[in-house]
Amino acid sequence: MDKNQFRNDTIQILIAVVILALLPLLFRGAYQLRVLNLFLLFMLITIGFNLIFGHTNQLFLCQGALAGSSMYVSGLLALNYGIEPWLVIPLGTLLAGGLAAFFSFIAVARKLEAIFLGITTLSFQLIFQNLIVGLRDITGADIGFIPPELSLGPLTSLLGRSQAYYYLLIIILVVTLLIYRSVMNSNIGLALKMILDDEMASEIVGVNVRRVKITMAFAGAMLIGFTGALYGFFNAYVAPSLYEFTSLDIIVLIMLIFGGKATILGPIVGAGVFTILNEILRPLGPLTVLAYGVVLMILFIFFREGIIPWIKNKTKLPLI
Amino acid sequence: MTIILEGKSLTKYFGGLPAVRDVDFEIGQGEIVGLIGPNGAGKTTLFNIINGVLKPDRGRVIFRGKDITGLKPHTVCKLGMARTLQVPRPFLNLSLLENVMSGAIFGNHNTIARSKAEEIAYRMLEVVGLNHKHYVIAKNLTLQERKKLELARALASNPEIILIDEYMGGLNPAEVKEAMELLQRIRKEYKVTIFWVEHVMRAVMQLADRVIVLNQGLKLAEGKPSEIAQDSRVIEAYLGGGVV
Repeated sequence: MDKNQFRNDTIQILIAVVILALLPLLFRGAYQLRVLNLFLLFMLITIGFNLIFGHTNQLFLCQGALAGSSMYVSGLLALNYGIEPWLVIPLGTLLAGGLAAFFSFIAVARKLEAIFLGITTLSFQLIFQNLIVGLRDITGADIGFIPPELSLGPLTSLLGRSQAYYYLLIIILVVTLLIYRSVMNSNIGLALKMILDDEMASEIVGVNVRRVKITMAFAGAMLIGFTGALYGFFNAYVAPSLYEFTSLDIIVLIMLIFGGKATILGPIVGAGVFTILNEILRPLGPLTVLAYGVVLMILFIFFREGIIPWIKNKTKLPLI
Repeated sequence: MTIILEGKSLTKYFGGLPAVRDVDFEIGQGEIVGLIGPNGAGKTTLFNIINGVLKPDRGRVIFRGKDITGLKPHTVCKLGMARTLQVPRPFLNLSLLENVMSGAIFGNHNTIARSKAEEIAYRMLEVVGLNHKHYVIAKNLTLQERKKLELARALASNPEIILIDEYMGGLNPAEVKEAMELLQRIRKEYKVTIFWVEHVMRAVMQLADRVIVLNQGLKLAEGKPSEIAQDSRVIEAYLGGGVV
């Protein structure tokens, strides 16, 4: 809004991005680089989810299905028709955005509360998972498929595949954060704060609440879809397990709640902590789902505000 | 006198029970019209129908010659009708300044620059008497201050008419006097028509040009305050029926 706010935002975003950009210099191993990439991928998906759930209270429980439908559409088109992946990723991205806008439209038109939207979208997630397995001839079911390599231009020969992906994701993150920041400081940002505070009062004061919610669902899901496709191409092997509720949705939900809804830094910190935890818990196998269930319950019961707002409250630092 | 707002046989049922039934009314430009009636008479429901929070089961709302029945509240607001609520609902986590700016930015018919909105917000906070509190977060306000803030937010949208749902409940006599002066000033300086639900009879009787009385969803009486005060049906509605 004002100059101080602008400078404050810029500094914090800059610090975050510089730290992230330096990480590959510290962690050079192949496994470490893979984890770093997962870190950024999940961070971007969490930011997308934050736009939907954090800022407009629309509980979407189908991040995996949104990310997955984007990947399956773009990956299969690229694979089966030999189309350049970069040309079909936008299609997948738009599909994810369109699906989310559709659910959001239903929710506002039918006045579904968060919990009912949650159930509706969770059903979609389950339908998606079943469809992928059911459409064996197209999707390869549980066996999955290997998508064509996504060309990253000179980045790959310069840095190697993993690092190339990492810095591509950093660029996407920077662009996302800059757009995010400028939206939050615009009238739309004010409308978002108002809606989070009191939807009915916002409507009476002249905000088209429906339109804002649908737009946010569309925008957030586009980011989820885009990142979801990059996730599949990066993984170089696409199977339903990547986009299942237990392997994506629940983790993204935890990352957002832990980090802090409706904050810019929250998804970054949340993704950081739980990417590491995810790796530590990996040896537990299926038990990780149990662990996540417990974590999510604890977060919802005792720590709904999230770490960034909590620190902000305790220290009075102007965190964004 | 030009008619600015008109209701034609407005009717709304809640679960088979009529909350508002066949209510007709006309509000002239620049008038202050009081809307009174016992609890549950349908006053707030009528306001909700007028500004689009509720859709009437029957009847039309005509605002500045345009049929606005069924339009969403945000559209109605932009057409020039502001509203305050019985239990005030300012944006609790926003500063006073942001609260009032929200009215200027989103409620105005025309697009307004942020700097201009800020200017309006400062002025409106002063009008309602909340200056020196611009950066206070709204949740720290008392109930009365919240009412004032909501009024400032409504005024910031530059309305033609403002629907005020109780403003003076709980005020002491000196404060009532001050509030009455404020409403008068709003009408005079900002050329705003006021349609006003109020339980503080003294204020309504002194300030309103006309009074409409609702009882059990029906329009019971309408007229000058002095006439209303002597209307036997109105007295009965307030003091209890069952008179043999």
